[in-house]
Amino acid sequence: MTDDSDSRARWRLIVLFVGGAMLGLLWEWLQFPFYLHEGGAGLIWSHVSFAAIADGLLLLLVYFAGWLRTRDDRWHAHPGAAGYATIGATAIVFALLSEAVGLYVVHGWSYAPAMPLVPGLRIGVLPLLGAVIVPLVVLRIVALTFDRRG
Amino acid sequence: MTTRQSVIRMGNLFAIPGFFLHPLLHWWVRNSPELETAMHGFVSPSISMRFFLAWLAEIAVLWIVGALIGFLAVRLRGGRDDHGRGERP
Repeated sequence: MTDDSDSRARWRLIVLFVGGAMLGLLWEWLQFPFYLHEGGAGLIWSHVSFAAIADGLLLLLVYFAGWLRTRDDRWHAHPGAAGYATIGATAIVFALLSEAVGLYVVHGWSYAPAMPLVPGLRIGVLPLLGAVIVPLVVLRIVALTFDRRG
Repeated sequence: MTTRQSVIRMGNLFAIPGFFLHPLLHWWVRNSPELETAMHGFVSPSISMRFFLAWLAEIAVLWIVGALIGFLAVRLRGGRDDHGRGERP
C-alpha cells in the first residue's frame, strides 16, 4: 500500500462521483428505449438525471465497500479477484434493491416490452449490467489516470 | 477519530433509529389501513416473516448509508489519520 495525501483522497471521491454520474448518464440514454416514458421532456430529463446521480452514489458505495475490505484508499489500482467480486456484488445488490423499490414500491418507472428480464425476478438485465459496467470502467479509468503514480 | 471509528459510529447512529422506525410504521399502518394502499405495500400490514425481513433489511441499509456518510465525512474533511495505509494503533 502506498501513502496518499488528504487532498488527493478528497479529490478522488469527487472524481469518482462525477465520473460515475457522467458515465451513468450515458448508460441511461443508451437504455432509454427499454423504458416506458410518460410526461414531457422535463420529466424525462429529471428521471435520467436522478438515475445518473444514483450512479455517482453507486461509485462511492462500491469504492467504500472495497475500502472496508482492504482499508486501502488505492485498492482499485490493483483490485484482484476479490476486488472485482466486491465491485460486482455491491453493484448487483444496489441495482436489485433500487430497481425493486423503483418498480414495485414507489412505481417511479416501468419497463418497455423490449427490456430483457432476469428470469424469476422481474428485474431488467440492462440496469443490472449498467450497475456493474459503470463502476468497473470508472474505477479503471481513475486508477489509470488519477492514481497512475506509485 | 480514525476513519474506522467514524464509519462505525455513523453506521450505528443511522441504524438505531431504523430499529424503531419499521415497527413504528407497521403500527401506524395497522391503525390506518388506507395508508397501506398509499404506500403501495411498502409496510406489511401483518406480523410475518416479511415484516422481520424488511425490518432487518431496513436496519442494514441504514447502517450502510450511515457508514458511507461517516467515511465520506472523514475523507472530505481531510482529517483522517490512516492516510490510506490502514489504521494506526
